Amino acid sequence: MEQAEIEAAQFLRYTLQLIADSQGNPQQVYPIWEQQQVRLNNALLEVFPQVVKWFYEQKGEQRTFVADYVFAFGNLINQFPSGSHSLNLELGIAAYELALEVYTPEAFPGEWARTQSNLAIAYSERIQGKRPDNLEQAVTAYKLALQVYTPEAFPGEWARTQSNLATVYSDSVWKERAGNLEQAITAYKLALQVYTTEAFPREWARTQSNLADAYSDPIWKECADNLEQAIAAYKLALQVYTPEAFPEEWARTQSNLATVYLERVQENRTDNLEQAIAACELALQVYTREIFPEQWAMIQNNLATIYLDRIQEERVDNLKQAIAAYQQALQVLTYDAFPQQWAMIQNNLATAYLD
Amino acid sequence: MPTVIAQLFQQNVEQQTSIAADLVNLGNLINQFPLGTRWLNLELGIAAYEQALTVRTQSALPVEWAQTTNNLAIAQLSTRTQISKFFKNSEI
Repeated sequence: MEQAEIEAAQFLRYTLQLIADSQGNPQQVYPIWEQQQVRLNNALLEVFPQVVKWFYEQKGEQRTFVADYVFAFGNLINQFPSGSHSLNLELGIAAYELALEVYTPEAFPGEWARTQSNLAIAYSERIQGKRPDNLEQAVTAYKLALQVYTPEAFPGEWARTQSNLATVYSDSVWKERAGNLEQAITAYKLALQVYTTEAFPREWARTQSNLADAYSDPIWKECADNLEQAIAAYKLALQVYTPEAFPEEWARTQSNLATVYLERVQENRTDNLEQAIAACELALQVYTREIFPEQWAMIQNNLATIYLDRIQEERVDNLKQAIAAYQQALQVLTYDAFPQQWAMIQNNLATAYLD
Repeated sequence: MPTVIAQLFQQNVEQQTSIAADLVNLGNLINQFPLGTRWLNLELGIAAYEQALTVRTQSALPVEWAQTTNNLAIAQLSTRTQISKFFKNSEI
């Protein structure tokens, strides 16, 4: 081994010892990693498999105990807030793959499923590699975890995995967007079989909200029924996301609801637009310019778009309101900070002036 | 665990041997239990063996003593402290 590799191997040995001594407590591990950040490097990633396999050989039948700490290392490094997130994820993936060499599904089904599930999370966040490939890996690992996490044996884990799988399926990177969104919707609905409003109110609301996001995707433009489903699911989420208990979630849901009302083709157009304005105004109670400038500006932009379409009230007044709202949005969404949004709003503003 | 088991032994003097056998079974089961945290399960198993050995002494029950000591030794080989030592002393 070269000097850098020897140092990396020593650091790994020291780190695994530290994890064993501290029972994997991040409050004890992270400060030391903070100090030795320079050691969390590519050389460590390179020697990692070699060193762990050597530990496995040394420990023979007791290698499971080594695997436990390798798995714990994966969890800790993936959550480590400092250093290179990209490299931390690579180290985490390497750790899980090495743990899986010991955790066979036959001998250690619980550990195997948990490691597959954590591996899937790491792949879904992975920065290196091609994103579609990484998501493909995440789907595979989640499906493997589901072989153990059956609804009968592990209802909670099953629901969590279905929900995580659905989130991967909803990702915009997939080529087969519609097909994957359908899979996402199916998986969210499965999760809701366990995440009932009584037993898991938070998870229930989050899943309803995610389901609504999937139903309101622009790809369903021609599908009026999906927008109705989205409205229904957002409204269900609002039963838990009250402004008192979950102000941010409440505001986000109101803001999303406004977008759906704006797109809605069913029911009376006038009513939909008034509902959209009302939802935007509710969202603005939390999304203030001081605390949430970006959200505040995007809602101003949405409000402006709604005013342009508004049928109620005087046309001239609505146009003036729209222009005023676009100009508000542009105060935050500047050319330097948000070039794309800035360009979009300039374009919208031009349309409004043409009117 | 030690407090509760010591009480149990005191209150059931005639059944001490069978309680000790149950403790060894408990230790064997928890050491192989696939869920939870393995090192913690291991510590629980070790505690169970150690309590059983207060009854299964070498002079009173030599065969049981030997079996339990053996189980204890195997479990102790894999405790956190031992694994920590293993990492510390391994020469790479």
